[in-house]
Amino acid sequence: MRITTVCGMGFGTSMMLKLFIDDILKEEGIKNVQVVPTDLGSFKGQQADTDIVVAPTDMEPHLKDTTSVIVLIKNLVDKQELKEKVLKGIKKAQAKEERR
Amino acid sequence: MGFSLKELLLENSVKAKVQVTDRDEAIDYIGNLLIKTSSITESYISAMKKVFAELGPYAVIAPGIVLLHARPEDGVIHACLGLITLKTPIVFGHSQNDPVDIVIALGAKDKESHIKALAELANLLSNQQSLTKIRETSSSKDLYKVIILLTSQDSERN
Repeated sequence: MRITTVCGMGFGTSMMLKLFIDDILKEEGIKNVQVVPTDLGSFKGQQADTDIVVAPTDMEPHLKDTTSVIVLIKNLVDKQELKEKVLKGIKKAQAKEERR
Repeated sequence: MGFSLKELLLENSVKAKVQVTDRDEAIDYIGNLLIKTSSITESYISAMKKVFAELGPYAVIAPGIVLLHARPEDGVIHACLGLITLKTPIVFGHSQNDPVDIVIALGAKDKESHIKALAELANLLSNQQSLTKIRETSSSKDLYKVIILLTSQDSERN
């Protein structure tokens, strides 16, 4: 499974999100999930490749066309919010995968 | 992983309880700190403003905290970080995390060399007690010391 974290440039906010999500996956013992930070421009071109997209809340208008599971984060340094939402997103993506 | 937070955040790039009246003024202030330490060129300030205006206020990453940055090619001389706290919180235009009283600017030289510093910064900002301490500190000199101390405590724990 692949999680893409998105921000404007792909190495600031999205990198911060990736670092936290990597920690969460490790804590939860979840393997086989790859977390890739990217910039919005590249994301629009390659979004079909990802199962879950994690982005800051206010980026929502830029993600309208995506068919992946969307996880929006209000407080990017709140590990609890991030953990709950990302784990929920993974479950959703797994369910989607099974229906296929 | 590259530079640590201590290497990127220079003492002169930290100021406490800065008085500004709007978003642009806050960006100018922190940008000028980074210009004075020869970390960025003037063009990086307008680039940060442009990115914020174009991509929207998602850079307000948490209640009261904004992380500003533009691209390496927009005028970064060497990788750097600046942090200011505001005397009066300022509206940046985020749907939920306004107003902002901690402004952070990042100048990255590439996509990777700042990752360690970013991880340290993220850990620092995710700790409510650390944030309270940062917000309460009123002298710039103390603020710098507080940030460096809190960061070293964090890395000892991890």
